[in-house]
Amino acid sequence: MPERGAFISDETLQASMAKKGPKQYTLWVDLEYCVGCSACTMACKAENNTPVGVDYNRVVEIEVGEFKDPKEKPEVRVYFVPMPCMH
Amino acid sequence: MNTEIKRRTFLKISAAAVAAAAVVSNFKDAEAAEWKKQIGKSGSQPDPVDEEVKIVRSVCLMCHGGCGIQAKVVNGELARLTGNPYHPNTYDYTAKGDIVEESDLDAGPAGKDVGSLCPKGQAGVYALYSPFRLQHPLKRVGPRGSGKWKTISWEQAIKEICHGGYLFKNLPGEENRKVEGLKSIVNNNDPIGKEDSDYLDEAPPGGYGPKRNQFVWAHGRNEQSPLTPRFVNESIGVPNMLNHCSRCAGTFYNVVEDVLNLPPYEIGAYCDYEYCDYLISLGSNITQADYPMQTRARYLQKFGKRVGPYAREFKHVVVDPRFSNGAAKATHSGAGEWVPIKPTTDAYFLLGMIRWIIENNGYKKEYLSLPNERAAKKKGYRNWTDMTYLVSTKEPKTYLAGKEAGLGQSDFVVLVNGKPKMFQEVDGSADLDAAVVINGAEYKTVFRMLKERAQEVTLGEGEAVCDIPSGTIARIAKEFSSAKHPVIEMFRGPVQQTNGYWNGQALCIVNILVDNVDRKGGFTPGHAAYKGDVKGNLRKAGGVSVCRHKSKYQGKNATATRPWYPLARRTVTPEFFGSVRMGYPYKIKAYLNYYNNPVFTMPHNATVIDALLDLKAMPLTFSIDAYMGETSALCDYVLPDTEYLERLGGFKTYPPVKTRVWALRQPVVGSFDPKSHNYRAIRPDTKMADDMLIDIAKECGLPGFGKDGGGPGININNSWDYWNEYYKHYDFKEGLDPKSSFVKLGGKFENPAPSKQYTNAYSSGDYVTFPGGRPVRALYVYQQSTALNKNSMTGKYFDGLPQYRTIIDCKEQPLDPAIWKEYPFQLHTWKDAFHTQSRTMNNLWLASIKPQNYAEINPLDAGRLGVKTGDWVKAKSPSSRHIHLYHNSMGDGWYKFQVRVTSRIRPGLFSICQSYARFGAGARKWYANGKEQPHDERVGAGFHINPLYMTDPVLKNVIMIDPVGGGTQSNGTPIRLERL
Ligand code: SF4
Ligand code: SF4
Repeated sequence: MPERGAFISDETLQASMAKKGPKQYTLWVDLEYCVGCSACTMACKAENNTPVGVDYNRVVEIEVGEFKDPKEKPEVRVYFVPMPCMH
Repeated sequence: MNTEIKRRTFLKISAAAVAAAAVVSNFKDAEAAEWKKQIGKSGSQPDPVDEEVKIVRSVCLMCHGGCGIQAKVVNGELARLTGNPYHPNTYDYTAKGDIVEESDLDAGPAGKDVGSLCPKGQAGVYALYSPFRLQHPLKRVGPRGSGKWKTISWEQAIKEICHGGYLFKNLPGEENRKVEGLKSIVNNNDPIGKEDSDYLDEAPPGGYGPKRNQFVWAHGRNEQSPLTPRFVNESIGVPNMLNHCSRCAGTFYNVVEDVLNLPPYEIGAYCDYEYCDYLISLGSNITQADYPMQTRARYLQKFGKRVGPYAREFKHVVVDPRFSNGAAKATHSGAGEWVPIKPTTDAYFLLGMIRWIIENNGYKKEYLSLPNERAAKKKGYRNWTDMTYLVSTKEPKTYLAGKEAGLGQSDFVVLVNGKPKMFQEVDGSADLDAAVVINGAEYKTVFRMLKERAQEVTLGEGEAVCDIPSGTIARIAKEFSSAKHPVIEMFRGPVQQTNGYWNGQALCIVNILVDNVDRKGGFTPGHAAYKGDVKGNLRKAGGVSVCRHKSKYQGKNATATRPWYPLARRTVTPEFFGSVRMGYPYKIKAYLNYYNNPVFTMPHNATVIDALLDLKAMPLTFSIDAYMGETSALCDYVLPDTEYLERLGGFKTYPPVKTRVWALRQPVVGSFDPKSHNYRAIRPDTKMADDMLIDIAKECGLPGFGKDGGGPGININNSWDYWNEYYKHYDFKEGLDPKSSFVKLGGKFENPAPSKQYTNAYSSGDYVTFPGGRPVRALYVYQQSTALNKNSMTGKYFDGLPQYRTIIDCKEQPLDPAIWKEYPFQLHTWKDAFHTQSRTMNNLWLASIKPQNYAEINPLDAGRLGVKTGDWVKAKSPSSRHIHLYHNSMGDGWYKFQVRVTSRIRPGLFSICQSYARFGAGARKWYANGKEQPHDERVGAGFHINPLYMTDPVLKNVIMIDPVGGGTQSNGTPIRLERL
């Protein structure tokens, strides 16, 4: 299981922001804090005016592990991965 | 390239282009060329420099969270909804003065301060322009539920509803049915007599009230208060303002108000996430549900886990049969934990925690020993509890009063070193764990009674009932009581049960034991909003409501025919539908359905459908609805409402927001007539519900509206008149003056700075500052009012303390255990973040996120049944029966479902997410003037849970209901499953 700190730390992020020179923008979503709500799907939709049924930015849900025995501590994880179209 | 695509055109094209897409499969893509044309150059975000952009700030109503919205309107078309940054639900900031001003933020069209909205909130654009919206008033031209309507004028609709007559004389079977109109019903002040009720023997001494009580109002999502209660309770003057709280969270609010001693309607208690370091969420689907969903998710994820002072040590324990998104986040980094408790066993978990905390000194002894305000103040506490108060061990188990103990005038008696004393005379501590015999009768402190109650079951026995690993309760109770700022919070899970009130009470007690109520980082209840007022010479409601809420049974027989709910502060609406056909307690004559959908939302909805189709039991029914909802479809008339983006009004917020708020709802499109202030919506023949109610009140000659309705010289002829007047009084001043900061900012907001949220004036630690003020008060672990009331079905007193129980029927008997042999699964439900319970699948923006739901089962059960994801099973409960409106009904009580196999659901459950499988609001064909109306199969995709719910074994026709709080048994119905 990934532990706290497995993702880009605040320090790393700040250091890269502080770098001089021309910047290339990236969209960075800290998956530890993404709750899989799909607000980004709707924001993208409203912003880009896409038709019903066409969503550029979808949120994928990944289920890891299996839980079958209530007498054991469950080892299930679910990760939410927003998938912007990268444009 | 065509860049001038109007939103309305866009929606029309896109709905039409894909209308034929099959249910259950993915959506068909729009034609590429058409799509390109629709998109235009830069999407919907207006260019703030080039185009005519207007910003209107209002309130969201895609759910009941009350988030402020900021609408970008370009040339009269709504282009985009974002959060109103001035509203603390959507944005975190600090203002300069006490009250927020425009200059505090850079919030213009191109401003850098933008608030957030959840997916539902953003999809409000679709709601406004939805092809499924009603356009004209409708009258049925076939039997109820036939789907055949004709459009009529507003004049005709109001006239027929108010004056009645042979309204349906052209319909077979209704030729001679004379319908009494509203005007004569609501102005009849004679007492309800034997012509109206076969149950006069069961009426209280004052009777059931005037005949006008035969008018029943039922709302679902009512945010037009206080205009709507004025119409029902004070203008018509009846107690029958039914709400949906029984199915929702009424018990949660009820029990929090009772135990934490709050004024009614101050909306629950939640964790103060920023300063909490140990949070247990019990049946609270945080990040996907609860109010306001997006705000609580943000507070938890941002403040609790990332920037708050305890972010590094924060532990989140999610106790829930389902691995919710909250659980996914709790366990994401390995810090938190999921406890997959079995539904309906919450009492065992909570009382087990209480037992461990008491036996292991995990409670705050100094705090719990405080008997009164003076003692609390001296020791630096802001509240105190009844833990030291003596209670009789004989029924009715009341607090021992000073007089009874021979001491003098006092509501409570405590012991100090074993000696009885009036509680107000004690300066310091009183005895906590104690008992005494006075005049031969035994009395125990609340603490002692609670301890004895908790000790009735061992932790091991409790864990076996909860079906969780042994040692879990002790471990969590230990972690909880040794944390710096522990909180356990709830929402529907533990309270939407027949033992719900007591479960909620137990949860509040766990918090009280560790002294976190009102604390910074604690369990913070209540939210007082800003208020206005409209005067008027008004009626008073009297008598008994049709569902007997807030009414004590005082009939001639020892027990009642059907349950009464003396302690339920909100209505018990399922019981209205369960008793209306037998005319209990009295017959009704007219039913007004406002923004409400019991046919779809009520558990065991077969009963609601039967009632609405019964012309004798419900002679006149009409519905105010923006869509042809499932309930509207069964009514006589449907009056087309405007959407929430075309209304006036306002809304408060909820306890996680700790500063005062009142947001203004105002139309973002459409226009007001400059003179009369009548509103003209973008669909010109729709009306604000406010305006319809005012028209009806005027036609019926009711007080409180029309000429001088708001007092001499104050005419209330439309919604604008009412709200303009309301916003001139108390906390408001300028009415709806467009130049006022209230209108420009979309509300009145107290500075949400942390300095306004907390106080360090108490030496025992910091508290939350309560807006509206009610800082000093007692908390009541023991509920004397519960203990003083009897269950009307047994004649026995209720218990004033929580009990170890699972599901009970209306006589407080457990379910027959034999039932589980035949029906070994348990029904379970939850909600997606991008839906409300019932009114968002007709929003195709939202429906496209997850085109259908499935019935979810655990891999263990899938293995046993031999099914995999996508396979079909059939399910029935002991009382499910055929409902013709469901495509998946197989006849005889069995319903077909497609399953999804997932470890997010504990074994033994049959779990169906709410919101899906609509059969109204555009899901099915219907006709007006013989012409097919817009509909789309995608609205009806997926599966619905409500037909499966089990009814009360004693009453037979109604969902099982909590006899105290009035909430429904929303989880745990026994289910039989077979592979298809
Ligand atoms: S990335 Fe998308 S799904 Fe994740 S929290 Fe943000 S809006 Fe919600
Ligand atoms: S949480 Fe509710 S009120 Fe807030 S934006 Fe979402 S739907 Fe609207």
